[in-house]
Amino acid sequence: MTILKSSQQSAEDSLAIGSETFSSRLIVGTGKYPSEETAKKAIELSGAELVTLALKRFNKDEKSENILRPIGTKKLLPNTAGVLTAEEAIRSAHISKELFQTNLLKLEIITSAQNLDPNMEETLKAARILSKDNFEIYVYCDRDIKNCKELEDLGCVAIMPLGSSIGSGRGFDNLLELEKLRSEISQILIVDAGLGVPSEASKVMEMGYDAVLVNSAIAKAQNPITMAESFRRGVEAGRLAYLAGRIAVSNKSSPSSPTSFLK
Amino acid sequence: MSKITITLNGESKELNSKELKDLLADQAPKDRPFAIEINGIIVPSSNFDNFKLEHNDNIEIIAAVGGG
Repeated sequence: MTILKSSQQSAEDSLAIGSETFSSRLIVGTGKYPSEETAKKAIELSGAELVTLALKRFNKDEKSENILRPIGTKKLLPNTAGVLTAEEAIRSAHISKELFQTNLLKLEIITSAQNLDPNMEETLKAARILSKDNFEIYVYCDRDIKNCKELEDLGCVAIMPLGSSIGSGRGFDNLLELEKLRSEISQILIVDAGLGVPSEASKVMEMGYDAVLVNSAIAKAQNPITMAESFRRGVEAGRLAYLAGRIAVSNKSSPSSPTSFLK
Repeated sequence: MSKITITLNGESKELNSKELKDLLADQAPKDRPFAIEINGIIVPSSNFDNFKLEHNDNIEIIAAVGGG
């Protein structure tokens, strides 16, 4: 049996999303870190090559960190966070394109400032417009098969259903729905939002999800740097298990040792 | 030179100069990239130096922050 070193594994198991190719299957967010130094180390140890970030009005009188410093040379995936309508999302998308000189976009339209679950009507409306405008859309969405299929048909490069509510750390509200989605959607599928621990990342990777996107579970952990590494390992373990192919689930026992003594 | 009143990031502001570059020298970040939107239209950075502001313009200065 050949044991692949993780670096060899990465080289042979790259992840192509739109025009980009990654060796890491963990995408990390950059919000909520306790310090720039912690963010820098955590992002590095996560192994992520693609990181999300957001837009905000700049006020010179407010103290604010330059988030681009800890991100370094990672590929940027600007999000449309905070928007409630397709119109706002489209505006945010074009500002990001100008600001970061990238066509990559995480389309995220929430329901309200209190309910961060996706507003699918507005998300679909925005995707219909932005998909005709040369954006590579990573779309935050619900787990509804019909919605996800429409987003796939519109040419979104990654379909990103939520595991559970943003920042909740609850993991999965409905794992069966995520499993069904994987069997219905052939486009890149990424679980975005709600994960709390690396075993949950492993779980969806074992099911054949292509990647996971994690922010709060790392940034708000008691030790974000160590948690970043644990998520990296969790994602790698889950992916390896998926590639290895799990045994069939059975209600009957099946011996792995002789069933009679010394015969 | 006459003063103009603009809205900057949602707040009213009086300016002595109509030059966008003068406003940016005073208000824009020095350590990170930023984007400018005026009356809902993005102004490419290549136009900053020659762009003239008008009375009642609505200006947004936007930069990156951490996000998921």
